[in-house]
Amino acid sequence: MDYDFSFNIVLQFLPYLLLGLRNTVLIGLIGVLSATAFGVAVALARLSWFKPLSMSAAGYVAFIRATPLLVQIYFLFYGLPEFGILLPPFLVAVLALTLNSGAYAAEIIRAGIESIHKTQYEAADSLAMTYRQKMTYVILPQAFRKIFPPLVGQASYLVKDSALVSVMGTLDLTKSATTFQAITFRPLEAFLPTMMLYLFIILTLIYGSSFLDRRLRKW
Amino acid sequence: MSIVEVRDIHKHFSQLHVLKGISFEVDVGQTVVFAGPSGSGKSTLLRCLNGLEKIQRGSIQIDGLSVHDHKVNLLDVRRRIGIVFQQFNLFPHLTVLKNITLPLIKAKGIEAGKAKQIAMDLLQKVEIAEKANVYPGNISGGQQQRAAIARALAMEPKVVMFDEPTSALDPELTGGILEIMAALAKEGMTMLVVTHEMAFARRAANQMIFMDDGVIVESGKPEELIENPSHERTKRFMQEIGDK
Amino acid sequence: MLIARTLFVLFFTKGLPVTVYLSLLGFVTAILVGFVVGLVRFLRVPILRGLLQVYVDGMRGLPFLMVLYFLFHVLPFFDMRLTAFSTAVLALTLHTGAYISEIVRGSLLAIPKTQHESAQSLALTLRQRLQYVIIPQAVSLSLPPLAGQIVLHVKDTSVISIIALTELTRVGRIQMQTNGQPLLTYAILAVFYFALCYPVLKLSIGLEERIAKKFR
Repeated sequence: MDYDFSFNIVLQFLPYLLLGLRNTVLIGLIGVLSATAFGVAVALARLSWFKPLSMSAAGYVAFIRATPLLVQIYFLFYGLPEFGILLPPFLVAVLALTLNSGAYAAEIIRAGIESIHKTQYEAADSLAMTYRQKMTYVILPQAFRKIFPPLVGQASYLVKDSALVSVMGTLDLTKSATTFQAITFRPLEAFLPTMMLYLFIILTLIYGSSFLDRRLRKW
Repeated sequence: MSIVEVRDIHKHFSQLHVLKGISFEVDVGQTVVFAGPSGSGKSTLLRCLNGLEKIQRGSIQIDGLSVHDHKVNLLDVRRRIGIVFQQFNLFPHLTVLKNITLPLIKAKGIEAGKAKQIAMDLLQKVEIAEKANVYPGNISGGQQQRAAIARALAMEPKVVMFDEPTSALDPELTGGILEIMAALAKEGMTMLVVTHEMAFARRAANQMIFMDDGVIVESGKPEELIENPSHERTKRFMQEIGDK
Repeated sequence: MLIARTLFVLFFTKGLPVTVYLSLLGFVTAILVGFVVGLVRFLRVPILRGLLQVYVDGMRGLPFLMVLYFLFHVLPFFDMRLTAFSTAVLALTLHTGAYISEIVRGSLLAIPKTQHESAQSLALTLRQRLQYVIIPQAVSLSLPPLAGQIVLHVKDTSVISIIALTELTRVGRIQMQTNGQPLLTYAILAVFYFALCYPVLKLSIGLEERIAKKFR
C-alpha cells in the first residue's frame, strides 16, 4: 500500500466537512419533521372511507416503494423547472426526502393505528366519547407508543438516503467529501472522517430505535 | 446396579438454588413418579439427567455412564434416554414419519428402509399409523403426543422420561396417553414421570418421590404417599391435588 | 410520442440488461456472504463474532453511495484496479450481504429453544441439528424479508449510475440531457423500475401472510 495518511490534510478538510455536516443535519431534521407530518396526512388518507382517496394514497405509497430514490430526485430536480417551479437544490432535496420518507412513515403510522385492537374503540364508544375524544385520549396515545420507535428507525434511513442529494450539487456531508477528494486526490483523509460521522449519526438512530422499542413496551 | 443413579446433585440458576442435594436410584423396569408443586425442581431434575441442564455438584449415572463427565460423549448418554415433553416438541417441517426416522437414520445410523419399518410399527402401537405422512400442524394435541412418544421409543432407550406429558392436553385426550404410558410400564420399560395425575401413579408406578423447593421430602409407594403421607408438606400437597 | 418509443427501446436494450444482471449477480453473492456471516454470528463464534458485528454495523450505518465511493476511490491505492462493474458488484455484495446476514440471524434466532432441545435429546450432533431441524425451518421464515430486501437491492443499483456505469438510471440521465424531455424520460424510467420491483414487493407481502399462517 502506497499511502501516507496525513492528519494535516484532515485538518484542511475540517471546514468543508463541518459545513457538509451542518447541511446534512439540517436536511435531516427538517426532512424528518416534514416527512412525519406528510406521513400522517397520507396515513389518514389511506385509512379514510372515501375509496378514491385511500386508493390514491395506496398507489402513491406503492410507487414510492417500488422506484429508486435517485430516480425520484432526478424527477424533481429536472422535472420541476419544466412546470416553471424553480427551487434551490436544498429545497428540492428536502422535498424529495419528504415525499420518499413520508410514504414509508405513512405505512408505519397506518400499521400502528390499525394495530389498536377493536375492543379499545368499543370501550371508548360505550363510555360515550365522541370521535375526536376517542382518537385523542384513547387511540392515538397507544398508537404513538407503537409508532415512535419505528419512526426513529425511519429517520436513520432518511439520513442514509440524504447522501443522494449530493448529485444535485447540494453541499451535504457526502458532497463535501467527494469535492475534497476530487481536489486533493486523498480519498482516505476525505472519506474516513465522513464515514465516521455518518456511522455515528445513523447507528445512534438505529440503536436508539431498538432501545426505545424495549423501553416503551413497559409503559 | 441401578440403571439411574443420582447422588447429591445441586443446581443453581445464577442466584437461585434450584436443586439442593437430590439423591435417588431407579432399578431396571421400575416406574417412578415425581410429584410436587410448581417450582419444586422436578422438570429441572429430568433435564439434568440427559444433560440439557448442567449440575454444579454431585453425579448422575445412566446405565453406567456418568452424564456430566467431560470424557463421556453426551450423544451416547442421549441415545439411552428418551424424553417426552409437555409441549410435544415435534419438528413442524417434517411429517410424523420423518420425525421418527430422522434421528434413527442420523443419530443411530440405521438404514432408511429399516428405520421406516421401526417407525411404522411404533406408530401402529400408539394407534396413529394412518397419520404417518401428515404434518404435526394438522393433527390434534393427543395425536402429537402419541407421535412424540413413538419418536422417543424408536431410539430403543433404556430409560424414558416424561415431563408432564398430559398437562397441555384437553381432558378427554389425557386418558389415552396415560393408557399408553401404563402399558409401557407394564411391558417393563424403566420410566421417570413428572405428573399431577395421581390415579396414574397409583396404577402404574412402583415408587413416588415428592419434591418441594428443590429437595426430596419423602418417597415410597404411591398409595402410601397419596393416602397416608408422613410429612406435613406432602399432606398439604395431596389435599390440594385431591380437591380437583 | 416517437421519443417515448425510442426511450422505451433504449431503456430496454441498453439499461435493463445491465440492471438485471447487476441485481442478480449482486444478490446471489450477497446471499452467500449473508448466509455465512449470519450463521457464524448466530453460533456466536468467538472473535469472528465481534469482527462480523463491526462489518454489519458498518454497512448498516453508512449510505450505500459512500460505500461505493470508498471502494471506487480507495481500492486503486491498494493496487486493486477494478472496473466500475466489479466495484459495483463488490459494493452491492458487501452492503446487501450485511442486511441479509441480519435476516438470516433473525430467522435462526426465531426458532424456539424447544426445537433445539428435542434435537439434542434425540442424540443429534450440532451439525445434524442445524442441517435437518433448525435451518430448514429458518429458511421459510426468512423468505418474506429476503423478498423485501431484493427490492431494496434493485433500487440500490440505480446509485451505481453515479460512478458512470451504464445501467437503467444512467441511460435515463444521458437521454434526458440530449432530448430535453426530462419529465417524459424519468416517467418511463420509473415505469421500468416499477415493473421490476412492484411484483417482488407484492410477493414479499403475500409470502409474509402465508408464512404467518403456517407457523400458527
